[in-house]
Amino acid sequence: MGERLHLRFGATSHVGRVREHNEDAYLVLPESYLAVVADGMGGHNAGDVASQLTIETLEAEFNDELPPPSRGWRGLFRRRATNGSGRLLEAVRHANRVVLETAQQRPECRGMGTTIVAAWLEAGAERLHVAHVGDSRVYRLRGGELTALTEDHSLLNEYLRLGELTPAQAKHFPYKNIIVRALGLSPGVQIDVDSTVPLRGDMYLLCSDGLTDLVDDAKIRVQLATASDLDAAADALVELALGAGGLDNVTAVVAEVEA
Amino acid sequence: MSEPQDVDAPERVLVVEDDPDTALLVQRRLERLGFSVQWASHGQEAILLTQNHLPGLVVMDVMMPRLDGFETTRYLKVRYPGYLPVMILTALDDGDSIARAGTVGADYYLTKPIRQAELKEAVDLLCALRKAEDAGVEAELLEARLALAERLCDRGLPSLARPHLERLRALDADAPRVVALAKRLGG
Repeated sequence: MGERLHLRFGATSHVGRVREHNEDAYLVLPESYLAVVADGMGGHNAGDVASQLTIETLEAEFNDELPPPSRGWRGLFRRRATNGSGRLLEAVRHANRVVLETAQQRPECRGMGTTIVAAWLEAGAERLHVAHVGDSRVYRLRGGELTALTEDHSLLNEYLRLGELTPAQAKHFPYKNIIVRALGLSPGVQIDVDSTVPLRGDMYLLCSDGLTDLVDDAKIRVQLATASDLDAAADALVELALGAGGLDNVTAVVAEVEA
Repeated sequence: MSEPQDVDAPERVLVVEDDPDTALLVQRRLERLGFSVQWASHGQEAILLTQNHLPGLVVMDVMMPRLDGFETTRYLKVRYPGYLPVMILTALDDGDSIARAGTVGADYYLTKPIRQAELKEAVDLLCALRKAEDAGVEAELLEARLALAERLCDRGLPSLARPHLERLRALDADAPRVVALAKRLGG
C-alpha cells in the first residue's frame, strides 16, 4: 500500500491598493482537501456576490456527505458521478447555475460573473483534480520546478490558439485582460477539468490575476520554494503584488501535499 | 404526450450597447419585430453571454468600454465560424469605420439614429440567410445570400458585400444575378 496523501493549506486575500472592494473570494476545506479561488466581476460591485456564491456552492457540495450508493446500474452511475473529477465538475456546474439564476432574479446583479480555480485531492484515489474557468491560475511546484496547470481562458490565448494572432503580434495586443469564459453568464459555459497524480512535497498555488499580472513566474517560484510555512508563502506572494502596485484584488492559496 | 418545445419561442437577439437608454430603445424596436432581447453592456460581457449559447443575431455598438464592438465582432466571427450574423449599429459613419467592420467580418452596418424600417430590413435579410444556412438548401442559400449582398451594394457597403461573392460563385457562378453582382463589385 502506498502512503495516504493529504493537503495542508495557507491562504490570504487583499483588496489591493487601487480597488475599493475585494471581489476575490477563496475557500479552504482542510477536511475535504479542497481549495478554491474565485475572482468576481460585474457592475455595481456585484462581482463579490458572484465569487461568494461560487465559494458557498462549492463549500456546500463538498461539506455534504456523499449519498449512499444505491443498488444496480443506476447506483453505479450515481457513484461515478459523485466521485473523481466528475464530482468537481458537477459542483462547478452547480455554481454556474446558482450565479446565473441569482443574476436573473436580482437586477442589481445583472451581468455579474466570476472566474474559478478549484483543486481537490481525492482521498484514497490519490488524484488531484483541477477545475478551471477564466484567468485565475493553478501552479505546481515540484522538485524546484514551477509548472502552470491551467491556461488562461483569455482573448489573447484564444486568438493564438485559433491562429488569429502570431506570438509577435500578441506582444502588442491591447486587450490582454479580456477573458472569454466565466461562470454565471451562460448555461453553456465550458469548464476545464484535469486530473494529475500528486506527489508528497508538491506545492500547489491557486491565485487570482491580481497576482499574476504583476508578479512573474520566476518570483512566484522563489517564494514558494523558500517560504517558511504556507501562510507565510501566501502572504509573501500577496505582498509582492502589493509592492508592484496592487492594481487589482489579489488572492493566493497555497497547498502542500503531505503523507 | 409531451408538448413540443419552443415552437413559438421568439428568436433571441443579443444587443451589445453601453448606453442603457439606447439599449432599451433598440430592445423595444426588436421586440416589436417579434424578437426576445438579451442585453450586454460591453464587448467582454457579450463574449461571456455567448459562451456556447449563441443568439440568432447580434446587434453591436462600436464605441464601448473594455472591449469595442469591432474587436468583439472579430472574436465572435473567429470563435463561432458557423453563421452568426453580426450587425454593427453605431454613430460612426466614416469610411474607415465601415472598412474596419468589413475586415472583422460584420454582416451589416447601420448608423444611428435608428430607423425602424432600416432595422427591420437588415434583420430580415440577416435572419433569412441564417435560416437558409441552418436548412442547408442550396437554392434558399443562394437567394438569401444574393439578397443580402445586393442590398449591401445598394447601401454603399461594398466591403461588406464582397466576402459573399466567392461563396455565391461557389453556389452558382453563372447565375445572372451573381454575374451582375460581381460586376458591381468590380471583380
